[in-house]
Amino acid sequence: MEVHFTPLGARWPWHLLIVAVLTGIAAFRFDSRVVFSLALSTFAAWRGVAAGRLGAVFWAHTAAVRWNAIACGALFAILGLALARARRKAHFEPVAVHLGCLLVLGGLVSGITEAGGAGLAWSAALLLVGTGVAAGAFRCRRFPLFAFGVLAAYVGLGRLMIEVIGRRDALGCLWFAVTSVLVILGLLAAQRRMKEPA
Amino acid sequence: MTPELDRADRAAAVRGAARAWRRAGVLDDAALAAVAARFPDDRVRAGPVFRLLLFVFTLVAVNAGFGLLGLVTGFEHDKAGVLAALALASGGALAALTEFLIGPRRRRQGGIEAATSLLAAGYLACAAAWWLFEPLQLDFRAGLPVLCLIGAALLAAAAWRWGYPLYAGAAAAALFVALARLPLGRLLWIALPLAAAPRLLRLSASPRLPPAHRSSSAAVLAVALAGLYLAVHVSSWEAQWIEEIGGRHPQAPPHGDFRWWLTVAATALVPAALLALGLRGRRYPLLLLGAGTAAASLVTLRHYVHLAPPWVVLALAGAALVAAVFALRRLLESGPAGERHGFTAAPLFQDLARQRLLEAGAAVAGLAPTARPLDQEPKLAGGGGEFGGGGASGEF
Repeated sequence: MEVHFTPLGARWPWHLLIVAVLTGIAAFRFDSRVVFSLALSTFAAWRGVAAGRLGAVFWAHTAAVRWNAIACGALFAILGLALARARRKAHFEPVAVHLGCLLVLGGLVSGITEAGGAGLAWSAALLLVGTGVAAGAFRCRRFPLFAFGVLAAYVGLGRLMIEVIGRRDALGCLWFAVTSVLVILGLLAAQRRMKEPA
Repeated sequence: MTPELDRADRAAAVRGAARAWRRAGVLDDAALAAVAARFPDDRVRAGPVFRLLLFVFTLVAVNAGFGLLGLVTGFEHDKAGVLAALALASGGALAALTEFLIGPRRRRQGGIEAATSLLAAGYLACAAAWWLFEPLQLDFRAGLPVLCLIGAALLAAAAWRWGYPLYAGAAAAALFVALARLPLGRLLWIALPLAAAPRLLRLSASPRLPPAHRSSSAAVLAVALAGLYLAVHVSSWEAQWIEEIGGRHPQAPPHGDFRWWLTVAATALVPAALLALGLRGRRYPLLLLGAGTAAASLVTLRHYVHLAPPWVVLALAGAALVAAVFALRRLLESGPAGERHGFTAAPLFQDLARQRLLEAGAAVAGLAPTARPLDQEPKLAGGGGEFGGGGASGEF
């Protein structure tokens, strides 16, 4: 309707916020996690982040999109945790926290492609946040979040090492071969501790 | 598959069903424990998340190791044969490793052995590609069908030996690509699925087969029926898609002749037939395929018959679908014990928590609106563009 009739004119992005609020109310009213996920993704769209195409976030070179993705992700994660803590629609918490973590980590990943010190700073941030997410998920036995964290930390560390290794291809291959085997061993040990049902 | 693996898969299927029945409240804890004791698990398994991580990191480790070996052996373009020999040796070694992991190490659904099996097939296919295009000097047109057949054979062997249904489906797809290169490719795409479908349907439910082979039969059936639909689809006929896949570029056939009308009828009838068969036999894969192809046929109809602007069609179609779902749900729930002719609207023995999370993920992936472009709306900078504060760049 907005695209066809453009009732908001140049202020058309506000329809995203209106739709986000309406779907959010509907999600709470009808207790639907699917509608809640749509409310969150529409809110992210209002902030310029296409939650349905996280790949686009990874390679977005617009700093505004990156920061909005990170801010939206943090907001969603906090919202999810608050819902769980308040025991109000606690079953919405995984939707908000998972989408939030994906947006934060996606935003950080998009920064590692930048050249020079900025790319290194984003990589270090990705390594730190990924490690933190993985550690927290390990303690709380949150398996999908553990996967997000491990992958993000590995990507962050790999990007930093590529900077150190430079154009020495053999050393790069050796790094990825050895560290992947170490990660596999670590995962096998973590799997025994976390006991994820098969 | 080895008899031990067959037994392990059957026991896993029983335990999985028992867990689902427990979640649905049909079994109590004591019965669940009794089932677990009666059908013990002798395999090393990982949960879905660890399985995915182990799969990914095994892919990275093996490929990086292969890259290192290639660099150490001094890979250059004129030494591609060395790399091919290395791929052949690596593929063989990875196949042996997969055998070892699944056999003596008793790994199943563990991620690592799935990655080694995939890499084994991939490296062997790469070696075969080099052999076809370098020593045999085949051009791309001649070499591709042979390579597809080799790939299909490798994937089929992997599916048969290690029980991966995905490989069976991929093998069928590779076979169809090879068939498309033949002069009567489109006819084969129609005849083969029609001939094989009844047997595949029986095999996909045969208790004599291991569960993985049943699933493999279902995967091949799904690919074959999708191929059949593609072959008889009116747009595929007009644009000669099968012939394009086969590397030929024939002229477009005349619009409105006998064959065109045949494809129009088939585009409408194949989804209806699939839905009817699925409903009659209570076969979930056929119902899914029927629903998918029906949606595709309706979109095709919109392409040829312009009843209204797209936004009206989309809005009406969405509303009609929602209404149909509610009507069907009400019809099923109003039946005796919430059931009509064996169909019910109630969820059956499914992991609802996981299913709902997947639904939410799918909703975000498929229905999330397109984001507004932040860098193309200076007029709105005051309203929405402040978010991000001092961390934002100058252009923000």
